[in-house]
This record gives sequence, structure tokens and C-alpha cells, in this order.
Amino acid sequence: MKTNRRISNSALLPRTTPRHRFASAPGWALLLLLAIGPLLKAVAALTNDQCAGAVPLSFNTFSSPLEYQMRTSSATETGDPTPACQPNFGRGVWFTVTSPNQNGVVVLRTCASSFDTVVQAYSGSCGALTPLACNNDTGVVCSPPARASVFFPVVAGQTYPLLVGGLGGAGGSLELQARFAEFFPVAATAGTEIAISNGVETVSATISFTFHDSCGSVKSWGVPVQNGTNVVVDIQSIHYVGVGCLAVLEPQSHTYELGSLAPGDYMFQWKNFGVPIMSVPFTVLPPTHTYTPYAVANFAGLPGVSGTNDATGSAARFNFPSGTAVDSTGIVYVADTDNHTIRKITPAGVATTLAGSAGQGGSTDGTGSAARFLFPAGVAVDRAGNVYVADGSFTIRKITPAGQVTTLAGSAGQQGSTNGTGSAARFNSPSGVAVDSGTNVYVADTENQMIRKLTPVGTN
Amino acid sequence: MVTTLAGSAGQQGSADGTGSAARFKFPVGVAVDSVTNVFVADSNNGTIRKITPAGVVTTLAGSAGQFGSSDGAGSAARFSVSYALAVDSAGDVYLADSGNHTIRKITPVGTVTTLAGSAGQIGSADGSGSTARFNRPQGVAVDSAGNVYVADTLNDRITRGTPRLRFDTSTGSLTVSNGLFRMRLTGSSGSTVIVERSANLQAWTPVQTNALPPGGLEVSVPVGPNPKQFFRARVIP
Repeated sequence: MKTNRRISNSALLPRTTPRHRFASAPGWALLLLLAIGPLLKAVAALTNDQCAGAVPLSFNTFSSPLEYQMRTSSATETGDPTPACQPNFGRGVWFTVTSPNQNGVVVLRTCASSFDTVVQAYSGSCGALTPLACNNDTGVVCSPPARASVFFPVVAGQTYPLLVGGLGGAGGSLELQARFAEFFPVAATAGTEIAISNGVETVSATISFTFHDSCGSVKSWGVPVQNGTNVVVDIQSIHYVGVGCLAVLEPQSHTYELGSLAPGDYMFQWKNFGVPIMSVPFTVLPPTHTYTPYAVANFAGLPGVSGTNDATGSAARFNFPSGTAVDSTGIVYVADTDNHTIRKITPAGVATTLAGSAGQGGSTDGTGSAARFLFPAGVAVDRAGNVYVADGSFTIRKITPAGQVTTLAGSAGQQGSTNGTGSAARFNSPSGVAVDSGTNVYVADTENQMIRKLTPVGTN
Repeated sequence: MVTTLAGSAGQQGSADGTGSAARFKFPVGVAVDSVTNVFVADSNNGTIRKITPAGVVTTLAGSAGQFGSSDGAGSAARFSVSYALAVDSAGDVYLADSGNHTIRKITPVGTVTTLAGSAGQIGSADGSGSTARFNRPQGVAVDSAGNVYVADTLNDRITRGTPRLRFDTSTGSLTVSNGLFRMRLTGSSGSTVIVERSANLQAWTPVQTNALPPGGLEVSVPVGPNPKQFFRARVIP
């Protein structure tokens, strides 16, 4: 169907014919025409002004210079239906296209026309028309864009009426191109892969199609699917690009996310304007390896229940725990802020009180439960197991592994920002503390807006 | 001896700079890595700051005054009320993002991800990654095996997060010497792991079965005649 033939209707002229038949006629003839216009109009009514006189179009390729042309200025409004996409329409003329012995897709364009066109394609026959595709300007690949192009599926051997007219009743030189694309898949494959990112497993599948275009070339097209279930792709939702003689699907990435995809069997269905063309089964395999995302579990304490108990795991109690540190043997230290204590938790989850006494706020140095803290915030632990505490009494405390508590820097209850040694130094709400391998201690001195450093020289 | 590493007493701000030229806005958390870079949760700026041993302060992640929960690279990331920090041996920083009820991770180049919890979701559920829940976590610590401990403050409890099993691919962890291929496996200390090898990814031969010690498991395998060997490791019950 690649052969072009001229339509032997006086209203349809090859492009090489002058557009204005009467332009070269002598002036008197024009005057005569004007004078008897009403009579002539009746006589010279366009044969395709009504559906019954629709002119059959042959198929062309968009790369060909051969186009079909007619003038629509004398078309009447009588009896034409209203296009679905543009009610403000007039001077419609009628054509038909007939699919060859294959299912496919028809593309009709009015790109080279001299006026703003509207195209409505139908199935059925005159008097029993069913609207198919309609186009005014939307998505038109013409330049200027105020023309029309429609794209609709056709069944082998069927004839489809086409109504073409002007926006607001405009008329003029109408130029038509019609193209048929044989368009069916010849093979399809589906594959899946498991992707893991940021601790979350996602399943993605790619379904690839191979199909013939109208020139017999084989084209491939892949559909990536992420977390999909049964997947349906309709050609109607895929833009086409009319290039040369090919019906080329725009190779844009379509991603369909239809929920969580568990391992199992699925069906991919490809539709042509709602009509299933083919179905491709695909299987999502279980992950090929075991992947354990970061797993969080209760270690000590019971959510929502505060208290002071030393015990194991969820039997232990805390009261507004905040600063946390862990040493090289896996022992965890916690500033149990509202209990005014420093807690210690073994890798097995056994919680004890390293220093301080629950409910007893203070600043006394001492050993174990004799020492006092006041809303301790940050804790850190060095390689030797010494624990450092940013205490709410504006001091930095140190706890040896034996539980002996001293004040490393600052003076209890004395706010300030003075640098200095030991109790001469001042802090203002120190809340974070860290210690490096050389036992230098770093302090987030919060209300001073400073980061302080304690070096282990002199008496500290 | 107490000195000022960075910032100026009573001067709020977000300026990067050296020593006293830098500004902070209520810094709360502080951590120090193995080469004594100090990381700061600069709470009211919504940023994570980095201080070199020479006192040069930069903004590692977040954008001053911009709060939120977005993961992303450097200044594109957002934090809510950031509280405590910890840093592991690889230089990754862990943050208790108290206002978001999440635990965040910041790589040495400033790439921020959410390790556990879901922004804005309060709860106490155990779970993997984003299914876990916290309530205003204000403390965080990380051990040498990558286990992350969180003071889940308003829940009055401590949680432990265990990382997935993995081969350590950091520099110096994969070596060949004296005819031995050496690698290090990290994961949750105490779990029993099996290491297997294969030349074709189909037939697997056990290499070693061990409880994973803190700090990871060193695995040494004689370099065989095959040009390629594949290794896999998995936790066994």
C-alpha cells in the first residue's frame, strides 16, 4: 500500500495543480461567476460535502512530497456531526481510509493546510458513525501547530470515515496526508532484577518488545516496570513520532508503579486502544541473596515506662536517657538524665548504675553511688574505659572504670566562658562531649555557642 | 586545660571559618573521629559541622536555617532538631535527628541517608530501617562492629541497631600477601556467619564458620589456581 494514486475527483488535485483554478481565468469570467454564484454553488457542490460522498484516501508516507489538496471554502454545514474535540467547527468534508489486510494504525495529518483544521475519525458507516479519534491542535506535530493530526487503530480490511473541516467554519486549501503503519509485536521477553538501595529492596522488571514497522524493519522497545503488579500498557498512551516511513514509538521511559511486587507470576498485557494485542507472562524471582537491612531492636528499658531499675533488657528502667557512648568491648554508657545517673549496659543487655544515685541531683565527686550528677547530658568513653560526662551543673566530669568520679573542668553552678585549667574554666550548658585517642575531650558548649577542647596537661 | 576550639562566646551564627571566626547556634552534639576531626550537631542551624584539628570549620551537611527531613548530598540535606552525634572507624557520622524521630547517617563527603525511623513518625516499634520507630532520640553511639545504640529518650529506653553483613571494602581491608587473600567481614557482632567460595557462582565451598567478633572477622584464603574466585558470606541461625 505504498503506491500513491491520485484521487480522480475534481475537487482533489495533486499539489502541482494551481490552487486557485480560476485565478488564471479572464476577469470577465470571474465577474460572471460572481453574478451567477448562487446558481453555480448549487451546481458545483463538493462531492464529498456529505458523508455519503466521502472520498477514499490512499496511504502515503510523510516523507513523500506527494500530498492531496482540495479547497473547502464552498463546503456547507448541512448534516455534519460535531467533532468530539471541537464543537466550534464548520465546512466539513468527508474522506475514508481503508485498512489493508492487516491490523495497524492510521495517522492523518493536515499540516500543509492554509487554515486551522479539525479532524474527526469514525468507525462504522454514514448514519451509524462511532467517533474514534478527534484532534484540533493538541499534540500536533505540524508547523504551524494550528492544524490537526489524528492517530487511531484500524482493523484489517475495515473502512473508516473521516470528517475534516475548519475551526469556527474556516475554509481554504486543505492538504492531507494519510499513513498506515503495520504495527504488531513479533516477540516479547520479560526479565526482572532486584535492586537494593539505601537498605530498601525494590524490584524492577523490564519487558522488551520487538515489532515490525511499516517498512518491515524490526524495532525493539523496552518497558521498565518498578514495583509493578499486573502491568498493562496501551499504545494509546504512548506517543508516536512520525519519521520517514516508520511507525516509531517514542523511546521515552515509561515507568509503571502499581504497588509492591512480591515474588511470583505476573502478566504483562499490551493493548491497542483498549484491545488486547498480546499478553506476556513474567516471573519475579525471590531475591537471589539474603539481605538484612539495618535492624533496630529494643536493647534495654521498656518503651514508655520510666524508672530506675537495674536489670536485664526490657526489665531495666530509664528516665529520659540522652547521651550515649559505647566502648571497645561493646559496653554502652548512658546519661540517664532525669535519674541524675550514668548507666552502663553490657552487650548482653544487663543494665547497672555506674555512678550517681537515682533521684539525687547534685555535684559531689565520689565513688559510684556516692557521687552526684545534675541532669547529665552527653557522655563519651575513651580507650581505657574512662567515661566523660557533660553535666548540667556546668561541669565536665570523669568516671574511671572503678566508678570514681572527679570534676575535670568547670565549677559546679558557675556559668561562664572562661578558658583555663580545671575549676578555673567555665561552661554554659555543656551538652555534648567526645574524646579522642589522645584523651583530648571535646565539648559542645551549647549556650556559649562554642566548641571547647580539654587537653590532658597539667592538673586539668 | 580548657581552650576554645571554635566559635566565639555568646556569638550565634552559621559562618564557616577558622577558630573564633566560626559561628555556631546552640551546638549540642559532638563527636571525634580517628584523625581528630570533630563533628558538631549545630542544632539551631540545622547543620552538621566539621572542625579539622587546625580549627577550620566547614558545613558538612544541611543548610543553615533550613529545616526538614530530606536525605541528599551536603547542603541539599535537611535536619530537624539534631542532637547527638557519633562517628565510626570509617568516618561515617551517625546523628540522632531528634525532631524527625530518625537516625541519620552522614558519609565523610556529606551524603545523608536515613538509617532508621521514618521522619515525623513517633513510636517504639522494632523493625528494619524505615519501619523502626523512635520518640525524640537524643543519644547515639556506634561500636566497632557498626552496631548503633540509640537513647530513645521519650521512650525511656535504649535500642540497638545491627548492620547487615558485609565485606569491608574500605582501603586496606582487601589484601593479598604471602599467598593469602585476606578480607574482613563486618556485621552484627555475635552472629554466626559462614563464608563460602565458588569459581562459578554455582557450586559453593565453605571456607570458614565463625561467630562474628566485635570489629569484624578476618578471613584468609589461599590464593588458588583459578583466575577468579567469588566469596559470599551469610548469617546462619
